Amino acid sequence: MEITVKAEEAFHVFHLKGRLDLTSSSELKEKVKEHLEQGKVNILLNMAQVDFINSSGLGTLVSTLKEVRTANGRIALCSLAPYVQEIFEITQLSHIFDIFPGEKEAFAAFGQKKAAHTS
Amino acid sequence: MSENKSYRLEIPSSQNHLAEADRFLEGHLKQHGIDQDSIADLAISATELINNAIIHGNKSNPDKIVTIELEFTDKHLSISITDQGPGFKPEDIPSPISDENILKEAGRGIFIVRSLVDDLQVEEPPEGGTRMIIIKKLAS
Repeated sequence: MEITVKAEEAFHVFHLKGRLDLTSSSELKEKVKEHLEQGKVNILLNMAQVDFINSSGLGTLVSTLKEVRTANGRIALCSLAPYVQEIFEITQLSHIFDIFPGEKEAFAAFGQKKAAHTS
Repeated sequence: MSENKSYRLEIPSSQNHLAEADRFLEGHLKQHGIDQDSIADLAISATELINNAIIHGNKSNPDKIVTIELEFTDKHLSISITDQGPGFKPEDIPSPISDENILKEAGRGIFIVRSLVDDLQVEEPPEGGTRMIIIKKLAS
């Protein structure tokens, strides 16, 4: 899995690419941990290029959600492919995570911090 | 009536062999004209069960094997995944969508499989282990 992180005003956007399964889970956990340790506790996972997720990948996301909450941060997901969205709905994790159609909608929900900063 | 076709693959109990199992299944499913959406559902389902067989059934012991069998009949296809573990009862697995389990990190695999396929059967082969059988109906 490739993970690139872009710092925005409101949160750090993690662009994930590839399969989110047992093999790739440790990379994501490590990257999130690094950010939390640096006080970067608001995280948006852009999943547009995640083409496969299974129960191990879901487990990693749940673990990440709990770690971010423990750090008093906030986590959201955006741009899920239809197949990935279906897996979230089957497992009802769609009720647990904040899921947005795209980054723009997530930014808006995270409080328009960028807009407030520039106004 | 066409003849039944069956295929078989044995892999050691290691995650390193998941890609080989994937290729085996996807190759035969494509060859038999299964549509792409069904292949995606069957691939994730089989991967969940193979992972379970490796981790929970065979306890990642590379000396134990996981057997994957694919069978096509006129009416359905089946994918069987057999481990050499102590066996388990699927009804003992708690619901992953209940309030007390929704934030658990594990325990969603079989639930996902049941949601994606037409039927999931569990057998205890006489030689031991557990055999999980995915059934997918084929349009006649």
